[in-house]
Amino acid sequence: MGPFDNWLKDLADIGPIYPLVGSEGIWVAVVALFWIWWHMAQIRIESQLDREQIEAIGELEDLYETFSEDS
Amino acid sequence: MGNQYEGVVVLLREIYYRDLVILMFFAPIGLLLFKLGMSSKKHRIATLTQNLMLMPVMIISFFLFGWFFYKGFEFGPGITGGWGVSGTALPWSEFMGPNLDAKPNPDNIINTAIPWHIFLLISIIVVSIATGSWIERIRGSALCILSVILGSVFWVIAAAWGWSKSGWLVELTGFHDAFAGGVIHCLVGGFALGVLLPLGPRLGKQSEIFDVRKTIHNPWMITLGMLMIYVGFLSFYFAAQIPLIKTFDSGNVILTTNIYGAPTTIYGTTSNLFLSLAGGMMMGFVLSKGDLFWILGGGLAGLVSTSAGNDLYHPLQAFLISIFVVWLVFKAHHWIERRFRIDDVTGVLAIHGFGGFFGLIISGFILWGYPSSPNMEFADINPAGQAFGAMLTFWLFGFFPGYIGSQVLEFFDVLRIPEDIEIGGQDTLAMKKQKEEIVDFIGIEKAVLKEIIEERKN
Repeated sequence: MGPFDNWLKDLADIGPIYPLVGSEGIWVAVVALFWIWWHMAQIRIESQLDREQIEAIGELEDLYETFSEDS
Repeated sequence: MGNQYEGVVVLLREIYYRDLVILMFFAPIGLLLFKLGMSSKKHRIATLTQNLMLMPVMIISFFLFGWFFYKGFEFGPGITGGWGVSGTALPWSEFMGPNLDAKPNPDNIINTAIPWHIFLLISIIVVSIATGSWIERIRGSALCILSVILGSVFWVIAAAWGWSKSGWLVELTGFHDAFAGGVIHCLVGGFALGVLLPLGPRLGKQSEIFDVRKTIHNPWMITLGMLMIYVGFLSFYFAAQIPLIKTFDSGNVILTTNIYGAPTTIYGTTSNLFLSLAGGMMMGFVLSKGDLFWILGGGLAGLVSTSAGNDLYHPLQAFLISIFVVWLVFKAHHWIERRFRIDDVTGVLAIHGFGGFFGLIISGFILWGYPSSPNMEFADINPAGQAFGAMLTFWLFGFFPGYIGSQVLEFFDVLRIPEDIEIGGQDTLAMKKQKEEIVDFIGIEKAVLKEIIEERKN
């Protein structure tokens, strides 16, 4: 897995020290897809929470009666 | 340049930037506290969670393409003019991970010297500033998407053009912005305005606009937050000064340089920072008759106002510029608010946008004729170059991306939270669940207590 077999070299010859050097493009693609999916998931979760939120808030007329000055 | 000197400078930079990353974290934390202090109780938890999510979103997007935009767009005079060493900033580059061969490139020593995580933190700060103006009515997802547009695309391109050793704005127009009064603050103000127009004021259709002074909900939190922002500001000043080797006839000297590679002194720039802060706070106090928001905000506007030229000003010049610009900022803020009904919760447009804009214009006159860069072929600092840079950062990189981005989000109906939630509070569900959990917990406690009492009786 490792790109070198000992530390006793010129450090510049060792270069990258993480495993699986050369497969970075695959990780980038996976991470980019996850990142885009996350934004879509966030929008979906928010819309669902909004519906629950509106239900929890109830009628605005009732809210008006109990409106706190502190809010 | 000998290897020993190069080794010492590499070591010095590593220690310097490692410590500064920690200190610079004070700025986003302070900005978060500031926003929470300005939020009403019914929106506070939502403001906290939405703004916390900016951090991971910025980290991943900046790694994927933000750093590449800085490295790729720093050459000119065209929009790119070649990609230079930007290949090393691509997310799949071997140099983006731990690499023992990742030494600074001697041909481009300044820009390779500032590590990407310093720029990442600046990006987080940039979006943390902007998002303050939209709180209490913007959706969290819109906040994240707009932050990526601002923090991982447009501010970094503006920085590449005007806040780098080889940016074409510096080369052709003599643009000088040592501590990013334009490429950060002016730009952020423009972006905030671009979003504020489609977003609208709090409580949607109300005719009465909020005044920031009326919407401070926690004075202790905004004070603590702003003091942390000042600490972050100081750390940012240090990060924008680079320990570097200069070769003179008498030999090599390690000295402090600004972002363009021109010599400056940490003593001078730090004095300027403190004098700017003092001028801004004093003027803010007088103009607002002791109002907390404007004492703190005046201090910040003072810091912003001198950032373009604080590597060269005398401390007393910085003080005088600061008080003048804070006066302008205060007047402009109230005029804009009244005239255009703009509800800017944390005063981003005024403090950062106007502060940075006016600061750049003034620096063009005061520093007229100074070399903008150690490269003698580059244009000298001049009023037209500074004004051009101010317009470019505010409108092209700030306002238009913010306006277009938020219009697209508005088109898909994901920009603003529903009116009922805005009025009832985004924390309604969280508070309801919390109350239910407390009731459950009290029930469990009572049951346990009853058990203990019965045990003792027996």
